Amino acid sequence: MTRRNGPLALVFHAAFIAFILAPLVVVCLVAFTPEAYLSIPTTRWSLRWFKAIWGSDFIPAFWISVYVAAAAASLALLVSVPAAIATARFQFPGREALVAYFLSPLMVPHVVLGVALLRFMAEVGLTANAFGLIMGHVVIIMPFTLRLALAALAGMDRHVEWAAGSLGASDLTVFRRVTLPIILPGLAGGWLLAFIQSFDELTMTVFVASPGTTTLPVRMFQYITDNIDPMVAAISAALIGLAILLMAVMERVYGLERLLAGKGGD
Amino acid sequence: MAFLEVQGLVKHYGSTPAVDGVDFTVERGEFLSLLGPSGCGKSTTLMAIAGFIEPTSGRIAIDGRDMAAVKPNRRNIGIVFQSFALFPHMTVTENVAFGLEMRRVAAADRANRVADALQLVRLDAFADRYPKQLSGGQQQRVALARALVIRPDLLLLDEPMSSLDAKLRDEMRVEIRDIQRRVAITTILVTHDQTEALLMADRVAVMDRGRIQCIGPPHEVYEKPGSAFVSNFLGRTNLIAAEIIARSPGRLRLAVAGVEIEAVGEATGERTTLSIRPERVAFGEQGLPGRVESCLFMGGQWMYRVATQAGELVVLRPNEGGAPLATGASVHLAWPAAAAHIVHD
Ligand SMILES: Nc1ncnc2c1ncn2[C@@H]1O[C@H](COP(=O)(O)OP(=O)(O)O)[C@@H](O)[C@H]1O
Ligand SMILES: [Mg+2]
Repeated sequence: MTRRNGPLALVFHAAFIAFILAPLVVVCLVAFTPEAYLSIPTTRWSLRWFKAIWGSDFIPAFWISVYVAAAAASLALLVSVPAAIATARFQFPGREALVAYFLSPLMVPHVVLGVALLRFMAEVGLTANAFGLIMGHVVIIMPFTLRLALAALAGMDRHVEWAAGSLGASDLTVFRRVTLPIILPGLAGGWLLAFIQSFDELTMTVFVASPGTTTLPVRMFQYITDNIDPMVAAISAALIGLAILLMAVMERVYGLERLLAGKGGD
Repeated sequence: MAFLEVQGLVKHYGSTPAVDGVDFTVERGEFLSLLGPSGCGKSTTLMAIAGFIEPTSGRIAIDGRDMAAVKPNRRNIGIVFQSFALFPHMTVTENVAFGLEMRRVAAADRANRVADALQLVRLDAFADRYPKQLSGGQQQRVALARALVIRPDLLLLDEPMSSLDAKLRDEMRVEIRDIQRRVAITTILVTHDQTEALLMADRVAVMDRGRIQCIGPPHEVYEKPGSAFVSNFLGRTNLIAAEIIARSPGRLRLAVAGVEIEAVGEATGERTTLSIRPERVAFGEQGLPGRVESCLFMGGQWMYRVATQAGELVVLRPNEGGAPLATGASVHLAWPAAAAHIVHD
């Protein structure tokens, strides 16, 4: 059944979408200013601030972010899949508690995590170390990979695994040939969400990052505390462009909705 | 010794029993159907035989070999699940070939056997499709081919027909029955549909609340149900309260609402319950007096509801071309002594 929206609802939706999009639009416009201060270009457009990014230390920070996010998302996924299988497929005491524990970083403020991690890493000697930073991100993004892995497993017919078993497949073969291919779209969605979360993370990272491991959000944050110029706007616009490009590619290859809904199977 | 032996099978979930002491045997090549209402423990019994559910207690042996320590993938059992459980990411051919791959059958031999299996279920034209590109009936036949191609010792069918529409279901019943006969494979069919159980199986086991209530060839179980549950579940029946007047071995004289009748069976006490199938009741000059309440035309038969002192009885009479009895007509109901069975509840 489809019902048409009334005029009031249409106005509301339009206002809502405008509210979400307006800041992004403003940032993208500011990025093209020829001036040395934040302004929306009216008469002239310029790529000057995009050129300025090139050769700045934002580029290495960007790569550090990509590297940290990819490593953290992959590690989180690697831990999540066995954890999801154990909790979705087997009954054991403390099962609920384990899931709640893995999902708990969602509830802890990142500031608190940042302080705690800083202290902890100082104790075990992991400061100024990319590994420490990645592990911190794993903790934060684990709920996303786990949730999507659990959803993919829950959406899968148990009997499909049994059918494979009855046909002679060992547990490992069942996982490799049947379970994994079926839940793969869900896992990919989880990885993507986790990557975005990690890439975006500032609050906790500020505490843990060291000069060698300054991620892009941290670098941008440091930059705007000293300077107000359209450079950060240009970086933001470039990131938005990159995100749109990635989404378009993903849509072509997989179908985004399927990926982010975390559905397995068909 | 029977090919499959199930002895004292019990499965508890928490403290509630899903299967509560099930014993039966299946001979080599035999077709047994496990019939019972939803939730009575049929699937649990089947999955215990397949090895996916660990019994709380009891023994399962195939060909004399105890299965307790044998993993599901070593039991050589073919299963067709209610949901068909096809591998969605594999084509029809890949689905059917999976079991042969696991058995390391050489590629050429594998291709031949897959082709034969697909031909058996008349799906050769669909070999390269994916499951979601097939209709329900076709998916079911893929599942059947996949289970049969490994030449299993035992074929387990868990309500395979329940997601098909009525016409297709009728066709598949006959088809599965034919295939089972042709490849002579020992088969257990789980179903909650009594027509299906009677139609397809060599023997029927009726289950209720985790137990087998009665087991035997379809016509015997139908004719001599033994309990009120079985007689009601297996087709329609009339249950009538009766007083016992006299007994002789295997036979009873009874009074039903003041009318004296005979029945087969044994009973203790003064009162008992009779089961009489609607198609065995006839209209006559003498017998239990009643009044026709309604009359429904069913094509081959007329179904009457007749109000009597013993309650409302259903009577099925063959359609012989004439007009039916009018509603409100006074009638007498009679049946042969052998059609009245003592049942226990
Ligand atoms: N994994 C389970 N956990 C708890 N109870 C279960 C489980 N599986 C089945 N049961 C219960 O056991 C009973 C028998 O189930 P089942 O064998 O599936 O019945 P059927 O196949 O005859 O419909 C049902 O009451 C069901 O609720
Ligand atoms: Mg069932």
